[in-house]
Amino acid sequence: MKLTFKPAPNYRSKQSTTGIMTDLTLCLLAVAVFAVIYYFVAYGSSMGIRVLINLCATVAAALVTEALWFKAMKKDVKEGILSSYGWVTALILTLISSVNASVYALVISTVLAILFGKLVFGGFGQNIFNPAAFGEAVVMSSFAASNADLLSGATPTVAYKGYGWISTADQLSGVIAQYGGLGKMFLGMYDSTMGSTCALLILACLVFLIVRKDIDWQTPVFYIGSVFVISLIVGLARGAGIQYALFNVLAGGVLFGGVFMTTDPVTSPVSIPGKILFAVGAASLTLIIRWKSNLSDGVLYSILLMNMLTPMIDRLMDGSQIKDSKRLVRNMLIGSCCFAAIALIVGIAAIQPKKTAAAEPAVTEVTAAADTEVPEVIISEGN
Amino acid sequence: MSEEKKKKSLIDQLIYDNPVFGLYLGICSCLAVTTTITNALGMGLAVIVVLVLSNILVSLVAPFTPDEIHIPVYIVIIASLVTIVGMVMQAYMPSLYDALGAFIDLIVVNCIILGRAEAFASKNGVAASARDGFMMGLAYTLSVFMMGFIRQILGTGVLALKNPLTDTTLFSLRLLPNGFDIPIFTTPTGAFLVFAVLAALVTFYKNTKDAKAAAAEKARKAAEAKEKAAKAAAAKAAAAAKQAAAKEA
Repeated sequence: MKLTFKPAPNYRSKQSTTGIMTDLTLCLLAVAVFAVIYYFVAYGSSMGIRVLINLCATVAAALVTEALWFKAMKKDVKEGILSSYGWVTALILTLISSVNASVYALVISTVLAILFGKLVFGGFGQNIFNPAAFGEAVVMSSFAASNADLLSGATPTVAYKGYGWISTADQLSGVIAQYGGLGKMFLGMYDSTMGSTCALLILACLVFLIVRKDIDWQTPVFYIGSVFVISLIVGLARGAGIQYALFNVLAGGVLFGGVFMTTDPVTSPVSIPGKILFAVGAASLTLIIRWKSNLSDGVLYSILLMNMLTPMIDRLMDGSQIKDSKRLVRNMLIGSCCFAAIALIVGIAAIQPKKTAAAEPAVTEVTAAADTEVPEVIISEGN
Repeated sequence: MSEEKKKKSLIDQLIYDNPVFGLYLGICSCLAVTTTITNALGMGLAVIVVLVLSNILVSLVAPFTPDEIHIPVYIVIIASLVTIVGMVMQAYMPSLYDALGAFIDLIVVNCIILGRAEAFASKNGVAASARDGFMMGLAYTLSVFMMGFIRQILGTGVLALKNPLTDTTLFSLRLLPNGFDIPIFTTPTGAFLVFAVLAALVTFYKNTKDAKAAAAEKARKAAEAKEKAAKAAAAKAAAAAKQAAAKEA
């Protein structure tokens, strides 16, 4: 028998890694083009150019870092760069950042992500963590203070964090109305992290990637679906209704992360049951981090945490995928139920509506005042 | 072996026998106190003092210490020394004492000190132990200074050294323009990154040097073998000539 030893991802079909990465790059470029156009139209040319500069600078930084690395390692530079796909990392990193992030912060984070997130592990295929998520964690933990205050409006996740991620249906409607209603949120006509706004475009990318067999449909569908179902149950139990579930899916990076980051072939489990368990776990952690931590959104850290669990999930799911399917499905169900149950318990029993200054005037004055009062408070919360 | 070791240059000794990057001892304090070079140097000095004195005392008491209780005995010696150093620091350098905090007391359980007492001082004389303690302490100080240097410049953009006795700033140099510092290097994450990179560089240096030494050794052996073969051939020729001469006679 002939055995081939190659780092992940390995594919049985004819689909090559380069082909998949080309499709992924096309999708990311589509999202990037949308971001550039949106900021051009909404805030004038200077803002649009800023987004463009951010994108170009991070891609250039990624390519230069890899070129220097392969030069220092005495490998073929061109070959190395083409098989390392650093630009994908750079694009994702920029698109999940806020437009407020400075070019310097993004470039340094890209360099650190490429170098310590990917290359020191042995390059593409050997890394433990999603390099883009690694880089964004650096941006969030290290450069929060150096962000420019270009747009004073808060992202939906930050705005709703002001209420502690749970509120009456009226207050939630107020937050949603701030962004032009759920319909406009679906089309992406609001400020948030650059690439994660347009749900329609991201879902189109998802369909494109699935049809081209670039990604398995299970991961994104189970990820987004679990976020929806868990927050639906919590929303119904806490009296916030179905729009609570829709808001949880549309706001923040759930769609973008689900389509572009949980599907990373290197850092997610190999088997299909493993992928489903990974997706449900990430969804539960996303919601738990949203509800209970200081961070406004949990997509990033939930994916990083599940990346750490990937080897364990792979071990849980090893064996013949056909012969052992009963055991694998049972493992998957037990694991997924545990994750989902914890998220549900946290959601139903443990989150408290925040008694912030934002909620106070809304109570004392008229309920409608909440809409106008909220943004002011959010600015201080965002900082 | 010991002959060879003596021949090594000072720098090689500091790199090869480096307790932090060579033996991976005492990493905990190394990650914690290296936010600035002032803290790093202060910690390094404290470790040198404790290490030299503990090595001297251990080498003195080692001959008559029963084997069953030697670790408690060494620990008591080290702990007393650390307490003395800590009290002196608290009295004369209060700001440095506050900055280092618990890590002064934790020198007691620093692996380098007990490690050298066990591995070296208990088997060697007073002078050799003192010298070993000083070299090890110097290597530790150099390591933490390197880490502090990199972390302070990248993390805050300013390289500054304080006099811990008077608490005045000796010099302060802005190397990165304002707003271009990378705060992650002041956090433990940055400490791990810097540590990993430095450890990799030291290992790389050692590996290349070892490879070179091995190649030189191989070449020397090959040359020796050639010489031997040549000598043998010459001897054979001589013997043959002798035989031929005898035959002729």
